[in-house]
Amino acid sequence: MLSIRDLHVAYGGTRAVDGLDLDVAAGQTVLLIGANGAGKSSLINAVIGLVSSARGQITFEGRNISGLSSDARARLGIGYSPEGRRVFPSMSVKDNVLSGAATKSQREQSERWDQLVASFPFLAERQAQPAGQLSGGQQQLVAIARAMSGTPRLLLLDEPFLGLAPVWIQQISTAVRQMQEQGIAILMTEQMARPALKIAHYGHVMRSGQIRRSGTTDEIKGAALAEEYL
Amino acid sequence: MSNATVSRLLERRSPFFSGYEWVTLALVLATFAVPFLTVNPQIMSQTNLILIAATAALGVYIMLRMDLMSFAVPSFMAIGGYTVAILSIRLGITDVFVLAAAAFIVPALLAIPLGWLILRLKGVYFVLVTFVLTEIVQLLLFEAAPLTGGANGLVGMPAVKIFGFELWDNSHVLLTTAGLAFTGFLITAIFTRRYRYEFAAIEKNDVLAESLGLACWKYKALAFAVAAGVSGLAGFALVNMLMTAHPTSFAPMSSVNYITYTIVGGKASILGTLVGAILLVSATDYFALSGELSPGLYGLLIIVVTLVAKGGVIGMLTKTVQRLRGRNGGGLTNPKPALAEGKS
Amino acid sequence: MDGANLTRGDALRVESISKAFGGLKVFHDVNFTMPAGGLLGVIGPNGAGKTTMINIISGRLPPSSGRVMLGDTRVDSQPVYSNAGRGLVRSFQQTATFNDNSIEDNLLSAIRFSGKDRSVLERLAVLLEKFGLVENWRRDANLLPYGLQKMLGLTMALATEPRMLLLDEPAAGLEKSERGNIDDYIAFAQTEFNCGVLLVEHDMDLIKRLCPQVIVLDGGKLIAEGAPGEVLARKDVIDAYLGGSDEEDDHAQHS
Repeated sequence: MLSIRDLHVAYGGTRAVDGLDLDVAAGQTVLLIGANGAGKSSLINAVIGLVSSARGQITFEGRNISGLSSDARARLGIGYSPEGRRVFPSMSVKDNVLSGAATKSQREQSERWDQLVASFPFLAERQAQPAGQLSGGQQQLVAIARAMSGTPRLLLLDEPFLGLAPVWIQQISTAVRQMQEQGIAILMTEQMARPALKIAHYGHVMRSGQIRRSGTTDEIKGAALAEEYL
Repeated sequence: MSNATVSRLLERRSPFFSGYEWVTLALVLATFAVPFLTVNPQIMSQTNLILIAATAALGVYIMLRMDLMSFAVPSFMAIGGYTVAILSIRLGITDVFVLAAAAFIVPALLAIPLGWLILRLKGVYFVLVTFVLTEIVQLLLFEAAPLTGGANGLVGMPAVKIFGFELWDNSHVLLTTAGLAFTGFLITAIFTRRYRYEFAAIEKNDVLAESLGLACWKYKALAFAVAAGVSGLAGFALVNMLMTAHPTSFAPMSSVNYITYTIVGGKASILGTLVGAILLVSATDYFALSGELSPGLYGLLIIVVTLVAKGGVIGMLTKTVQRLRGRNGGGLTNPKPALAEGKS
Repeated sequence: MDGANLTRGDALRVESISKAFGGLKVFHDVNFTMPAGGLLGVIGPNGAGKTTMINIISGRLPPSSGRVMLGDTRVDSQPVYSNAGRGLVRSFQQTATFNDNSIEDNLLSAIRFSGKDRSVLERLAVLLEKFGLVENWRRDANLLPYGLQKMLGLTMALATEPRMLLLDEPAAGLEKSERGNIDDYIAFAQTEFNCGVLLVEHDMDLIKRLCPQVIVLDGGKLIAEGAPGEVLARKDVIDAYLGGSDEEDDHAQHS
């Protein structure tokens, strides 16, 4: 599904990602853990095409997407929820969420909306309200729902649980599990490793732009090395 | 361990003036020598124009400490200039110290209620309102004829006096301007360095500054008043050179010039304003640009600088020097490229 | 300083606060009291108005009705800076520092704006060292890792020598290994400054570990109040905030 070979990302003199290989299979959820500055967000941003300095090969469904713009990558079926609450402030909650499904037909959009509302009842309560009036955590949920609304085949989630109440972390986890059942691949970062490891199949511990340890989530949980992150 | 460590860290006090302030003040001070070195009227008039332009542009520089772009400079120059003209023509006051004090204090005092009204605006709204202000002042200069002489302006100003000695010829006029400019630069340097933490905080994050106890509005109002006062000194120098106070000397579009000097020279340091004025006033003269055309060209120049070299001339030079030396900047003591590139 | 006449550790009383933005009601008749020098946890679903409550207490937003008292002084609808002068200081959810300014300049700014003396830094030395701020003393705040920026922002609030701290999700975005810093920070604020702390957090472990008392805000009302053990076991709190029982690790939350 997603295959990354020898990826390098550098900002100024610092190497954020340093020769990294990574694979995500269909239906698989891969969690990146590691300290702030380990290169997790840089990796995610390189996959969606937001860093111009990325070198290396990124293949999505057998196609080399390294040279594509981020909107072209999104059209291929990659959904992305950025770290930290980026919504269109003057658009309504519903329009924000469905902006992730802009290429879909009217009927598909309304079906998708109904599914998302079933996962996140909050969206229905506030559907007409401008997203800019929501609290920080609410905006975060809108951004995640937007990434999910395009029914992507690969979903990138950067710190999805940041600043969210436990009940919403559970709702997101449930929605992620439903997507897993549909064969959707997910690559995510999360500081709150405990709830994140419950939904992930596979984990990589990153440090200094490289993968230092990999394993199934049980192995990662068990590894003494992971202690400092969990 | 720790107490000692922290005290040791604090030992390195940052100097009150950075190198930029010293160089700038030295350059302005050096212009006092010009009348003693040459009798060329062209050079003297050029120096005069540069000093007036640079002093006026300090009004822009001061407000940019808080990321506020002010078009109000010509308004306060006019208030300072007309105050001097009225005092000297109508009341016969010619003492240069009294006139300079009035040229500073009257605009500064008027700026306080004005500031109270417009400093709550941010970004583009503040810019717009300061521009409207110049138009209003221009209108008042024409309409309040009994006081301002209307379209004729106030002509026939007597020569100013220092300790009873008349400053009447070309070189005296330049010395007067140099004195006013040095005063303006000294006030600006002391003011902006004295409150550098406050201004930097208001520029970077005023919500945080307020939550730590800073009454942001007080500093904004104070800065607006000081900027008005310094512009007023430039207004004094201008009417003194022309021996006339006339509305066209304070045209609203001239505000673009002052902004251009500061931005092109480099808004991060006071030296930028002086260097910008030197370069652009000389270039205007050299290329014999007509006054009408310059706002358009200056506008273009601002766009180019903003796109290509945000730090302006001084920012670029600083960067080059730092690259050659391969060292890092040191906080607020020396404006670094990072500071010079701040949002515009 | 307005704060001079204030005695050490005044209680904070939130008295029948209501707040509406246009037609949208955020609070209706919320009351709670924070004892002097105490530590009160505030939890509630996203959008329950926790940040709005901090904004009202600190003076940034006026309430539609009701009042907030710090000791005998009314603090709502007062300028934020004058409340800070009284020792009522808040932190921010996202990192809040002065960019392009060193850690040193950031801390000196906080000291200057609150009218305090540099000697505060000696009181804070233990924390500065522990958080790793000393090693980065002259680095610009915006170039620091996220966790360090966050700790700098929090330490700046302490540099004003506060009497009452309002902390808005201090642990959000911190790594697991950095979360202990928040424990140290709050303990330090209470012992060294005798400071009251209002703690808004989603990290239930942190809340359970630190707070003797919590309040739960939901739907514009205070729905529960008490010790975390009891409050977090209540069915309405579980439904509104904690969600169903798939958190097998969080044994403490169910009775």
